Amino acid sequence: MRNYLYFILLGSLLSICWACAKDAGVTTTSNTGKGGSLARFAIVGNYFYVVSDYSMKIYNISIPDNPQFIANEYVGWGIETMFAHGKNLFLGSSNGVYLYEIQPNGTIVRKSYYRHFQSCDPVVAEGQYAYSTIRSGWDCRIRDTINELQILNVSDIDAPQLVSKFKMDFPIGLGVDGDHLFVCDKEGLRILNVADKRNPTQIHYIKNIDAVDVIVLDKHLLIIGASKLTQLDYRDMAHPKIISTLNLK
Amino acid sequence: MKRLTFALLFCWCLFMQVRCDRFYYEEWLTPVYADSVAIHQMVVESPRPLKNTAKIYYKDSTIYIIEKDSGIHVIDNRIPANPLPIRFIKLAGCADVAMQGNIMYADNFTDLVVMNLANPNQPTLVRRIKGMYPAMADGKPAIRYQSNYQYYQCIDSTKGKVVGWNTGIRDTTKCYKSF
Repeated sequence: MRNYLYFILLGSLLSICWACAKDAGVTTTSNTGKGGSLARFAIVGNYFYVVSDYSMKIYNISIPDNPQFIANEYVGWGIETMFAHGKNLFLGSSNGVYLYEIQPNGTIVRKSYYRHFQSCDPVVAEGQYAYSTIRSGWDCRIRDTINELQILNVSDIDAPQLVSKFKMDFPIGLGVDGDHLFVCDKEGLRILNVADKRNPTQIHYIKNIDAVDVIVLDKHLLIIGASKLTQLDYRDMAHPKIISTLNLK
Repeated sequence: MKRLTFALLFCWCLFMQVRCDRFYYEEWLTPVYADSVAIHQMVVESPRPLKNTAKIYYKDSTIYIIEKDSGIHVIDNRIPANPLPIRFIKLAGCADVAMQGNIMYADNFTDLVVMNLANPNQPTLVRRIKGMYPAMADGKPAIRYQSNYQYYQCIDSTKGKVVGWNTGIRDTTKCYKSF
């Protein structure tokens, strides 16, 4: 009899767990993974966004294994990266940053466009600020020689404002965690303190890391390079340490 | 007479110039080819060396690293000090992935591929949505930047189907001589 009761208890517990799991799958966004700053795919709520050179395809993925195409919108030239931030999408292009707002039906509306020199520029955002790296180079724009980080105030999505700049060598991907910004630069990984947005300061420039893009996890950074995966533990920001390097070349 | 010839030769040398336009480069795209039969197939293989890695995605202690235009490396990262490559998902023309629950979306040439990764050791194909990138279907690159043209290396169809493009530069330096 006791065994029987245990079974019922276990059964009901399991069904509660099952219900929770199902619920999470349908309604929340925490169910998505994390991409780097160079991504062209983004998932926000039940919508999946795919950006190519100049168009944005939107799919409804409320049934994840059966995406339904809902729209294809023209978004502008030379789009290279996409970053979702709240109900906004930041598109990094070769001319600047496009700021879009997601509507309740999943479609998008352009709110503003922050223009800069022609270059490559991924963008990430946290809170009221967006961070964008701008680099020169053959694959971006031939004769420009601008290599820098720009911090924008995007609290008014209709009118982003440049707050400050920080000189770099050849920055590519980047990631942000509160007051700390991680930037993949020519010789390795830069860690900046951006508590004061007007005056970002460099804490570390860890050289000889093969770094193209990063993903910020919990005090733990994934760094992808051209042929290496490096993982950095930064619980102690004064002494970040490399915990592993996967190099299978 | 000898003197006259020499003077004439001297004058000719003065006026003739042989030179090269130095540092004249041009951005262009070079095609990435793949076997036209295999490009619309998803094949799960054992892990292989990382190369041309470009983008990265993380979910539930698994790292997905995209090898530009070739596929996805699946890495078990439950122990970050010891990441373990477990699979390579061969997917031509792949550049990006995103996940919702156990479902992964990836681009495969012109198609969107939907996979189930409940078990990262055994990715399975759920469905394929054809023609996500119709612009690529003609095999030619999209025109980038605010220009009306894009240079690219001529396509050699005997090498297979074009699944992607690499950006590069070419030296277009021409030498010339004039009088």
